[in-house]
Amino acid sequence: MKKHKIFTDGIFANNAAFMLFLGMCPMLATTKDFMSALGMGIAVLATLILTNTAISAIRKWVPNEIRIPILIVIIATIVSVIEMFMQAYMFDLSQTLGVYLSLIVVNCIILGRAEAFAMKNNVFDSFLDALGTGVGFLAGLAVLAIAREFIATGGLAFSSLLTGQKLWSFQIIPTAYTIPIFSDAPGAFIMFGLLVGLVNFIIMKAADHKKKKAALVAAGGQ
Amino acid sequence: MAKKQLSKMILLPLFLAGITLGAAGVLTGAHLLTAPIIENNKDQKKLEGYKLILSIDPSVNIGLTSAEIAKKLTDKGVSKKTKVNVGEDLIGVVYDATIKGWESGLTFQVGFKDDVYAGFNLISSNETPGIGKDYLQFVNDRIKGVKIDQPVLLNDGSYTGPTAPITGGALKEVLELCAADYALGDSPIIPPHEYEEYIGALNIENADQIVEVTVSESLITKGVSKRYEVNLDGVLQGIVYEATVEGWNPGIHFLAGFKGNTYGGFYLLSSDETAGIGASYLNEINDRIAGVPLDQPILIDDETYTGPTAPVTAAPIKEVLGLMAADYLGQGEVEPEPTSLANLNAALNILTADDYSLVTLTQDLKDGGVLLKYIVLENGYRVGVVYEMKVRGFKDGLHFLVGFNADKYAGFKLLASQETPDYGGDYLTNVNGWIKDLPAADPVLIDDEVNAGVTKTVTALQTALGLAAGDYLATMNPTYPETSLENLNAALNLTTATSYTMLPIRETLKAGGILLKYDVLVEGVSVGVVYEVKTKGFKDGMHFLVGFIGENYAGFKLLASQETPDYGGDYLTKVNGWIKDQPASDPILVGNPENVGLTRTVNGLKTALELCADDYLEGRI
Repeated sequence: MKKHKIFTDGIFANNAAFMLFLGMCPMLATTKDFMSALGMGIAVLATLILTNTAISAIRKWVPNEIRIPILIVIIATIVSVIEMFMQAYMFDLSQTLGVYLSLIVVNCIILGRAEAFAMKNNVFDSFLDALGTGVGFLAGLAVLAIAREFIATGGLAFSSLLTGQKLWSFQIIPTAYTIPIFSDAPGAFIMFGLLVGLVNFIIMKAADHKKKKAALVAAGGQ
Repeated sequence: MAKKQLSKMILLPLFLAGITLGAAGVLTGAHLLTAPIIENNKDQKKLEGYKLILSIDPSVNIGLTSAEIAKKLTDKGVSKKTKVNVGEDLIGVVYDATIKGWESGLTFQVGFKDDVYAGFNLISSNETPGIGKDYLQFVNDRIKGVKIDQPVLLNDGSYTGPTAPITGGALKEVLELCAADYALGDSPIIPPHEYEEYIGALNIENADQIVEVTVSESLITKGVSKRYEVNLDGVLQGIVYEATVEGWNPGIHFLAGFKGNTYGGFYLLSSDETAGIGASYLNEINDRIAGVPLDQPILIDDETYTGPTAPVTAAPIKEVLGLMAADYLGQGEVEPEPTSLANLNAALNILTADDYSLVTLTQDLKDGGVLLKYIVLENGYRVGVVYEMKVRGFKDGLHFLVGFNADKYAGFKLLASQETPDYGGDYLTNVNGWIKDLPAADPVLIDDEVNAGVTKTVTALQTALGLAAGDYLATMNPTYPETSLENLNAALNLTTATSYTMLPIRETLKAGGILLKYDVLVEGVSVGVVYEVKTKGFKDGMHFLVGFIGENYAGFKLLASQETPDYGGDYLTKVNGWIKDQPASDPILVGNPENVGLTRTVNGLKTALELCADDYLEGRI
């Protein structure tokens, strides 16, 4: 498989958020605001890169019978280390993400990519796969968070990931016209559904367009 | 085959164990690296929390004092109780706690100020985002400003935010426990549900604020533990003292109130006195003392009293009530002994003063804390004025001297204080350097940075120094405009004087009405001395100059007078001719036929002239 395809598959064709529906729990819970989603996305990205590369590096020595416990030990270790460093250097963000940071251990994306890709491919490919999957998941979180925060609050707020200090914010929609439910759990489901619908609509349109184009090419050929 | 199976059974767990050991090593390393930083983050968050909860400006330095925590609090997860000060002012009390909500590790701070919850600060939690975590976001707004005796976090109809019953329930229990602990020991304000006793001790209808204030050491030794101000609508209704004395049995615990100039009443809190004897006697006390003027004897068991008697129970109560009354009337103060010359010198930053005289104080000065006012002398000449003051800074008993000379503060000498050593105590050691040589008319101690954190001490000092400076400028250092060279020439019967310098005046001369003393010069050489005098003749305001040259009077120049024109007024116009060239050592204006009928004018004038002559001659020696 070509390197760039390994990378782009994770972002588009096999996007964990909108195509594979993996990691739904943190996806819905940590997208109340953009900065939390960004923090979660970065944590998942880092975990994916570290676990995929580590597992790929030792894959030849891992006995098949005990590969799952070994993968879980490695993933849990890496997630714990990341959590500790986030508490040390991104204390406010770690508090905002709370238990979902620890729950990355059980995120299907991590174990899924480790088992499906890293155990079968070399370190560099595994790294590219983790990078693509992580960026795709991060992008999914970011899009959902931006949509939710914007509609729920009328604008967006940006703060430092390291200190939690507010950097910049803007508001376009007046407070009276915001829809606060989008910052709550029901709003997360509604917005996620809308975005999935939008993604599928675009894919269907693209497929139709491709089909028509192929038909035209075929007709031209006759 | 079996051997291969056995080998796998041993090797696979060993491999897994090896991986787990490796993971444990990595986790240990990461923990060692990050644990101190995480702890530091939490501590930092807590420090910020103290300011946040108590609404203290982030730039202000705060002092933290750990207090002992009751076991029932530690059992519930409260780990720390901290008194937060800005300088010497206690701002509030903050409790740190880690409890189990839905998840364990819910770490927070809750603060109290006066009689209300000051705020809530979440340090860290593992609560579920969207549920417990959202619930915690609203806790501060919900409890801030709630009275400490009121329940908090009620999920009644008034609250429409997120709910998390398990997290909320655990939190509510600890918050209310902390509030109860705070109300017991740290709030100077008595919670309203305890008002009844204080109202009873004053026999009044109502009160809306009761504040504990400092009680003097002398009362504490007699069993009086507390003193309260009882207010209604911001108006002081009376003072209540709390005491425990030993009667027939130990432990007669009571409140006694004072209002206006009377005993307000007596409220028995508890006692072990004998039923029917001491106990009955105690029950009568309120009726017997309420409304009795403070200058009247109380609890006199004479023939007019027919109720129960219990002399052993009565004696200590009478004694303590008398002490309370004296304290209430402010009779505890003893007239101070004048301080030492060394201290007076220190207050003026000099070493040469050798005597002083005391000046009678006005009521304003007494009310402002001035104990004594000294005119400090060196060889009879005033070298400064010193005020001895005792005021309340952060605590009672800020006792000091402040000196003035010319138009300036001359210095500050601390005699005693109860101020906190590292705060107000340190501040006081610098006051002398800060105020020395500053104009007495200007405000002093206005450096905001230096004053930060010692507000009460500084405010008290500023008020006291301002009072002393104002009095000094108004009464002790009046400035008189210097007269003209023409008048000085006239007083010496000269026309050649070209300049003059001012000479110091002895304190005794000032008392005699001498305002200024001029050394008159011709081409820089002294030719004579002129005294400017304002004294009383027949009327006030006899204002003149008298000059001396060599051993003699040189002349007299009237500047102003209220004397009767045809009598004393005429007389004064002739004085210059009479005294010119008369020996300064001789009595003056004696045997003059024009003295007849002008006794007061002549005596006033003669006394002043001879006072000047004596000083002039002494100066020449």
